[in-house]
Amino acid sequence: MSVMTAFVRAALTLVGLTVGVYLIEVLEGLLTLGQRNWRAVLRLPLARAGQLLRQPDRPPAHADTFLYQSAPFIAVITVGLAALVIPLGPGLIGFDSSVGLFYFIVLLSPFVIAQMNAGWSQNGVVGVLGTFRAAAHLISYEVPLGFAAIGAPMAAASLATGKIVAAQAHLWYVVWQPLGVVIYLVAALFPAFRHPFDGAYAGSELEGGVLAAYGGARLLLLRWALDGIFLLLMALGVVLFFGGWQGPLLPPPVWFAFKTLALAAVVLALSRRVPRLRHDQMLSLAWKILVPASLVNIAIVGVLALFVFGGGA
Amino acid sequence: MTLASIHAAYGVAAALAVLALMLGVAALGIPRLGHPPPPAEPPPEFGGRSGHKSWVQFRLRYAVLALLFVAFDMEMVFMFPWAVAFRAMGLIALADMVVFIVILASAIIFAWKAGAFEWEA
Amino acid sequence: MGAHDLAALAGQQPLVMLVAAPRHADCLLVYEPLNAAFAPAAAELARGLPEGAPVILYRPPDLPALTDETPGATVFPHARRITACTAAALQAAYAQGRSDALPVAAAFPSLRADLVDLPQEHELATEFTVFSLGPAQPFTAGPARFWLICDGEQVVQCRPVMGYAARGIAGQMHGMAWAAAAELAAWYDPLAPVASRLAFVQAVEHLQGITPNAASQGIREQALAVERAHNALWWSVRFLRLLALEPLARRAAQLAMALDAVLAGWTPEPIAAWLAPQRPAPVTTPPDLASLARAVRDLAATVRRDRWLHLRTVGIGQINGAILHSAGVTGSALTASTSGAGDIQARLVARLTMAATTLTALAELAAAPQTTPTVAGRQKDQQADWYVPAGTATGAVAGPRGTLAVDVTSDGGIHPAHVAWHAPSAALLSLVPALLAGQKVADAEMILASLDLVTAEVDG
Repeated sequence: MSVMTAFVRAALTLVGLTVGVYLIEVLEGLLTLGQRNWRAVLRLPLARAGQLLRQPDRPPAHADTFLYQSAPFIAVITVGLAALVIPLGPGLIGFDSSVGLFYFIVLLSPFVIAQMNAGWSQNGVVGVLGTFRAAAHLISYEVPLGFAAIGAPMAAASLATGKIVAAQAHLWYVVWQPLGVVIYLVAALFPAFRHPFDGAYAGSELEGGVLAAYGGARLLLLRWALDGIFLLLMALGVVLFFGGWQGPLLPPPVWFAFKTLALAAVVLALSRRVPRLRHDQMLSLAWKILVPASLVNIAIVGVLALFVFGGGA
Repeated sequence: MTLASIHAAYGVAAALAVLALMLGVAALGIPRLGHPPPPAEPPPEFGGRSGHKSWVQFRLRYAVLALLFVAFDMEMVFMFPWAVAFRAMGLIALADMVVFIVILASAIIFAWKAGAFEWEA
Repeated sequence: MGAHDLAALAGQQPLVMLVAAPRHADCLLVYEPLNAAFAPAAAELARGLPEGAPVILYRPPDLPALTDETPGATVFPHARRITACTAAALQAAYAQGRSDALPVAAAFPSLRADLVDLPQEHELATEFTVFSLGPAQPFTAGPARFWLICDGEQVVQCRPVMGYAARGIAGQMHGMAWAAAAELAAWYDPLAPVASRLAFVQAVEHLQGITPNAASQGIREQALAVERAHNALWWSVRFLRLLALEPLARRAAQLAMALDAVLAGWTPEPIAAWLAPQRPAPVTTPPDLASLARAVRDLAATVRRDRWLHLRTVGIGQINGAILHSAGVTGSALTASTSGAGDIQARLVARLTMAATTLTALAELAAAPQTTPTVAGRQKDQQADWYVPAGTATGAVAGPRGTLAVDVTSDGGIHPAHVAWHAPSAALLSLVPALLAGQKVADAEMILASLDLVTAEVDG
């Protein structure tokens, strides 16, 4: 593969991500503002991005300049790198790593750490509180998310995302791993800092928390990364449990995009009914409910994979 | 996977990192055209300003949980290769994992009993 | 002060959104009056705006000139002014484009960083975080500052600092003619002008030895009741938004706006015009509120049954009814503790239930036969008699946040000799430090918001 193809693939990944981020913003807008305002909803993300791009970037005085300036870049690059292993269709993948799922889960950590850097660097009380709330996220999501996701490679006998999708040709894993799906989707909201686990941003409670001092293009980059990671987590959910690109009639990428957005819409709509959780409640939820449940899930999936669904790969 | 294809694959990752970096720099550059950078202001803290330092020795209150997390995170890493080989090895792998999970679960129960999941007062 | 107006703004036009940090805002709306204590904080917020974002000033059109006021134009010389606090006016002001001048007057000093004394006793290796919550925070109606001294996420001490909303209303009344003082009284609690004005009017009528007849009294009570329901609904909109329960907040905003719409044509003349001493209330038909009352009752039931809200807030901010009683707290905050669990959710349910009950009672009045309201045989158009005999009297009414009372002393002259207000929020505020100590930062803000403190009435 030439250098040129590598760059073309990378550029296509970023463009695809940006379209996805726009669609996530639109979904959220539709849920918040209602369908009647669809015109405004379609325009709003673009107007907001334009507004932020025109604003100059003002790092606060006495900040840790290197961390402050680099955090949005770390977040964006992490999201972009994670997007490479999401298969949009057979062969339509940034790079088909044999450890794709593992690679994705590992990349979530630098994303959360980028948020912590962003909060710590601005040298403000709200940022520091936000940083340690983000640290609580870091130790909450990874174990249940990884244990829930492991059901799919157990059944597919591969960590390559493309092979996991191919293994679901006859039966989606959601059918016999429903517990895994629920754990995965709840835990996926943690590293994405989505409501109700958005304590590190916390609306008016912390005056923006981790994002408080950011403005202009860096704020845009951080928001892009936040929406992007949520999109990718939903996409990975589709890969692991909902048969990825597979579906009748329509071309695979269309199916994949449709499933991802539908899953995102369901998750966003359900999560709006829950008030923002305090981070110690989030820790309790993760360690007292999700981790034990995910261990049970592994045992169930193990038995089912060997004895019931053993034949059909 | 051959060495060459691994190089190619991570070439895409490198290309993406470079492109994302360039896009970000371009985004930052747009408002700089014609505008001198304005003086910096720290975030205004609800319109009040505390003169106390903000980079403090913060009391986490979930430090024990953080240690537990490190242990479990390692165990999760062990599980991925097991998951791939699980189908091929069959019942033995399952039995192995049951033993592993029982040990993990007992660790959780112990930590729970010992109060690691409680918020430090 | 514009707490309801702001909550309404975000409900009127979906494109008007409240943001958390000034750095993320497109404009800053400053709701006058500002005082000397709050103006530097407002200036600080304006300095935190992104470049080009305009400051927009609004002053309620009927607000009389205040002695302790810092005019907004001296702080923000390039601010745009709107004359109505509506989304359309705000958008029009914003649409004038970027504001390239510096938002704050160059002569206006930068805010000095404040230091508070930290508790000495601290054997741990960690350090205290000092969190200045306010003055411009969304947890109370109006500005107030709460120093939260935290060990990690746990609040060790809370020290309220008031005075950011002080307008010197009682002091200003001493030098005013009685009629003008009655006008100014409505601004004591700007969120409850009817209750504030009526308390003053009652005190004056006591001094003059006048009693309005039952019909007039009844309509005054109706106006009060409507205000209680109105306040409870708009407060719940603000509170549910802080909890980030967007669907419930939207429902509450719909109901609150429906109540506003019903009330717009309720009395033939505005309430302020007839709520004066010796002035009989106009003949009105009580508004049709039966369906609205049912909807509010449904919302209260939904909130009460909400399992997630219960799990999130169980036991947080619990206050004992006896403590509240001895502190002199009245109103829904007390009901929440005497007939409920006394925590955050109980206060939300208590306020919504109060609104529903009030609206139901009003709806039943619509069926009752009407009599003509009079006050001591006076006619509607007769000039008021402003001779107030010497003496002291107290007017007390059931306001939205509990009993609002005012002591008025007259020496028989043309000015009130002494006016002293008793604010329901002040009693609750005295409990705040004890209530917040030992709570987590994330809860502290919820607890503050659940108390429905109006800082203007505390500061006077």
